[in-house]
Amino acid sequence: MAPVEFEKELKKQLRSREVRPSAEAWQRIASRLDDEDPGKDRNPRWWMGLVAASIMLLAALTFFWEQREPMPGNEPVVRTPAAETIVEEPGPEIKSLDLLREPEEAILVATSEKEESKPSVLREEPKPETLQASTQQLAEASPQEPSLSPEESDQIPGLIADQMDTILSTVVALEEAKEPVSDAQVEALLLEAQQSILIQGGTEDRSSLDPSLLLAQAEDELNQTFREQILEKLRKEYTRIRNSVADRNK
Amino acid sequence: MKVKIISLLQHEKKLIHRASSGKRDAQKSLYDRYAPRMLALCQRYVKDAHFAEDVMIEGFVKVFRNLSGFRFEGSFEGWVRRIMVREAIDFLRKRQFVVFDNTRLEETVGEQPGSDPYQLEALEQLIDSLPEGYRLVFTLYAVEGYKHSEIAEVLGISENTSKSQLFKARRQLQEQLKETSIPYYGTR
Repeated sequence: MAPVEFEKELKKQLRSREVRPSAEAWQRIASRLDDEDPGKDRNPRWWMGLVAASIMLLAALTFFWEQREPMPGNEPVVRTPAAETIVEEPGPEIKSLDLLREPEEAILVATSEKEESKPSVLREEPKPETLQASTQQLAEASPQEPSLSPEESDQIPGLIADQMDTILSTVVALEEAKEPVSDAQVEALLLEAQQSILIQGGTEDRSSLDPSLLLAQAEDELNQTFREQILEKLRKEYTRIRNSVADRNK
Repeated sequence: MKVKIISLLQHEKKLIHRASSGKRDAQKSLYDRYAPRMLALCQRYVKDAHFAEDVMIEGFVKVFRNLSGFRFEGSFEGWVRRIMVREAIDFLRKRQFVVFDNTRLEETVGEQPGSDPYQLEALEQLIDSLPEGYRLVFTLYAVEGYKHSEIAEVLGISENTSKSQLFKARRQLQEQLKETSIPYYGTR
């Protein structure tokens, strides 16, 4: 017998052979089909699609909501930490004393002093978070530092001269009235003159016009050096004039 | 006779359509019709009866799950047989039962066939005595009608390996038939 014929016969016989499966075989197939019925899968897939679409919609809404957040300068919340930043008031006298001890320092270092004054104020703050918030708000709300603007620089010498005249006339009047003029009185007059210069120079107005209390205080803080510089100028001018008058009288 | 066959085929087509739409009774009818032959097929590859039945069950699950993919281009039985063969080979491969080497497992030669060489049991014993690789290639080629290219693809071997395994399987069967003084397999 040729192999092909043998194999044909073999194929015929083997392919027609049957073995009866066990009784539970069909049950196993049916239970598998129940578990994996594609018809049952459609609903979960539909629900999964719906859930995915909802998540995407929520994400999109969140994204657009974040885009619509108000500008940092307009947030009313900024007022809260501002109350805690009013700590600097006792500072100026110490600063002015320091300046008195170093009379050679020029007014032109105002910017660097301002930078140094910031950390000194910050060190006094008990809560670093508030500090950080206030400085950040400062940076956002007042991009221009209150340094001497050209107009102010032009105005101030004239104002100082005016104030000096007023102080000298007051002192002369007191001396003529035979009243002893103490250093405290002179200091008071100088401080008064300083306030007057600030108001006339527009610096105070600028801070008082600010709608935010925080911003005003922050500007106060930054203007501190500026005020001290004016006071120092007044002192120096007063000392110079007093010395020259004393020399002349000798 | 022809009319009867056409009627049977049409009935089968309806059954397949219904089974494809998930009708359990139609699936059961198809199962009852083909399960005995499919289990015999699985047992030719997987000798353990329980494992063979597991393979058949897995195969039928795949048949019913993919029934919508059957295009009626060939016989339904042929399509089911191919799924079963793949399932059986996957089973063997997962358990690394398939070894294509030249080792002759003389000790696995079973009981010699009787005087009738065409007796089914005797022939099956002869085929079962072949080494695993020979047996698989021989069964796929001679019983299932696969081409060498298809055998190579199913078993993950080259076509040349498939051809050489078939040649060696035939030669071994020839020798065994000679030894049993059965009118032999012949020469090519």
